[in-house]
Amino acid sequence: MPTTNLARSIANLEKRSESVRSRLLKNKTAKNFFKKSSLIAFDLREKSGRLLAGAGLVGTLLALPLQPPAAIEPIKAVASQDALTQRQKLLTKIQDVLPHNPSKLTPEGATTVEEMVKEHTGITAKAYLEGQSLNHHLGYMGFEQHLKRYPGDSLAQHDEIQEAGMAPGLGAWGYFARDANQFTTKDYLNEKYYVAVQTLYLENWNQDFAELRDWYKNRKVLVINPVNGKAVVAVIGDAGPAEWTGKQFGGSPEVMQALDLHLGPRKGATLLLFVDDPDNRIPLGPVNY
Amino acid sequence: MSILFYDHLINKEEVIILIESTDEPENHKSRAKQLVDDIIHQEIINFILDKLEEPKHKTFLYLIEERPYDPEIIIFLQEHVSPTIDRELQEFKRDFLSEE
Repeated sequence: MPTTNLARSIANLEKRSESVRSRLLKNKTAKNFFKKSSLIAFDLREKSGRLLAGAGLVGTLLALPLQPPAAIEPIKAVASQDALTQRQKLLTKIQDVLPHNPSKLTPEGATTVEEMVKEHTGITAKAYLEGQSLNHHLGYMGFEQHLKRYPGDSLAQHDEIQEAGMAPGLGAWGYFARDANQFTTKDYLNEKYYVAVQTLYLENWNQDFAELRDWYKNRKVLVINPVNGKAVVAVIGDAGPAEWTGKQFGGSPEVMQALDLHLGPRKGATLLLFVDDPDNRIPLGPVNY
Repeated sequence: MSILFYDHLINKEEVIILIESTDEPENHKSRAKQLVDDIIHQEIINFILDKLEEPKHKTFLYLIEERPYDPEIIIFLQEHVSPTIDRELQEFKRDFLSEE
């Protein structure tokens, strides 16, 4: 296959990136930071997105005019000190109204919960969206394994929680990418933060399969642990678990870790709502609020 | 989502348009855009670390790690590097892109 201009540019950019990184790592302090965390742009943008989405500030910052920085109101107080307060406030309210057993919220009950979630996380999440609803909004979520993302994918290529292992079969929607060359960051994040829901038990699943499959495939959801308030935005990446397991949802290793359900019995009650995000502005991953 | 503390100073639109205008697979375009973004980001960190006195390096990197969006980072740099750091970053970006 002939090398395209962009492919050549990418090769040059990769060399340049390595060279800049080497220069940066000559700085001792920067090197230490790289050991314990990521300072690369992509990860920091992800983190920013989560922090700002959690604080309900995405729109505010995106709309900021190009004014001198000194005139910009610092927002750190909102995202740090106020963060804990928001979570505590949501917990206090939501624990009073949520049943602690697998159940489906009534439309009225759902509205109350949705308003609380919106008020404190800034995320518009719905139990009923576009005429769709799962059989459970409250349910036990179990720890799932990693999924194969493309043909030839191996556990060693997954960057976190490898001890979770890899599911022997494919997820409900098949591979995330057709092959390793077409594997994008979006695919990477979809597998990292996926949940399994019981689409197979929806009343009209077999009858309206094609339509429902398209609607549910990679549908963004907000999962909240009502015990500690930890929350994560994920996509529906698999179907299950089976009814006999006594669980209603499954979570990828990273989702379970974000909810603090990855230790001990690796199972816990969760609230799961669809994220109403038509412009795709809410990033996947833990929600800091 | 594209919010880092210097985003309002660094306009990458021309490069993005150039990449987008190519008739290449989407994953190649995404990779190219990501590389450009990361190179600029690391060049900016290098640029600032070169100018910032060493005892402040840790604070600066901590701020980036903890609150990458925070406009207060620019204020910190105005105090500890130069009151005109924002303009310097804009000029640095222009010089950097013209080299590419």
